[in-house]
Amino acid sequence: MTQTISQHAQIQELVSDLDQLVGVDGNFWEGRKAQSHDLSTPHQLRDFCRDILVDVFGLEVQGL
Amino acid sequence: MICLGCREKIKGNPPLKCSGCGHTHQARPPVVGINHVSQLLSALDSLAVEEIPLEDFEVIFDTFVEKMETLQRKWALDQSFLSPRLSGALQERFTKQFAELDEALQLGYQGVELVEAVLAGEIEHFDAAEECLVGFFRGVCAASASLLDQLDVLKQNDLGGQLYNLPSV
Repeated sequence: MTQTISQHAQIQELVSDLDQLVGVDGNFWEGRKAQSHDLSTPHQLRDFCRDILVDVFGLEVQGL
Repeated sequence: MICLGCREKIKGNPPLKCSGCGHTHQARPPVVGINHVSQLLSALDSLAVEEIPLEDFEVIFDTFVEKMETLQRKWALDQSFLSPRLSGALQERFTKQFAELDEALQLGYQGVELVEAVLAGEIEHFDAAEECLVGFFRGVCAASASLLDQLDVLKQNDLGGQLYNLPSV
C-alpha cells in the first residue's frame, strides 16, 4: 500500500530526501536557475539581468 | 553531500578536493556546483574517454544507485507516482510540482538504466544517459524549489495555523 501525502511536513521530508539524493545541500534554487533558458516570467528576466550584469560583467547593480 | 568515490562528506565549490580520497571534484556544466549528479556526470565523461578505470566508475555509480534505491524504498516510488497521492487541499496547491517531480524521477530511472546499458557495452547510450541525468537534476531542483517557495508562503501567511501544521484532508 502506498503512502498518502497528507501533511506539509511529509512534503518537506520528501524534499529533504531528494536533497540527500542529488546532494545540493538544500540549494535547489541554484539548480533551477541553471535549467531555464527561456525568459517568460519577470523572475527569469531578473535572473537573466543579474547573471549578465553581476556575474559576467562584474557590475554592482542595486537590487540585483 | 558525499564523495561518491569514497563516501567522505564534502562541501564547497569547485574545484573541491576530497579529504578522503584526494580526488578533485570539478564543475560539470550545465549542473551548477558540485553535487551527486555532477559527480556522476563527470565520472561518465571520464569513462567515455577512458580516463578512469571501469571499476572506479562502478563504485561511483553504485553509490548513486544506492541513494536512488533508498529514496525509492522509503517513498514506494516503484508502486505509484507521487502526484496522485496528494490528499485534499494539497492537491490544488501542489499537483503541478509533484507531477514535475514524477517526471523528473522517471528521467532519473531512465538515466540509471542507460548507464547500466553503457556498462553492458552499449556505448551508443552515453549521450542519452547524460541527457536523462541532467533532466533529472533540473526537474528535481525546479520542482523542489517551487515546493519550498510555496511552503514558505503558506507558513508566512499562516494559511496554516490550521492548514500548515495540521493534516490537510
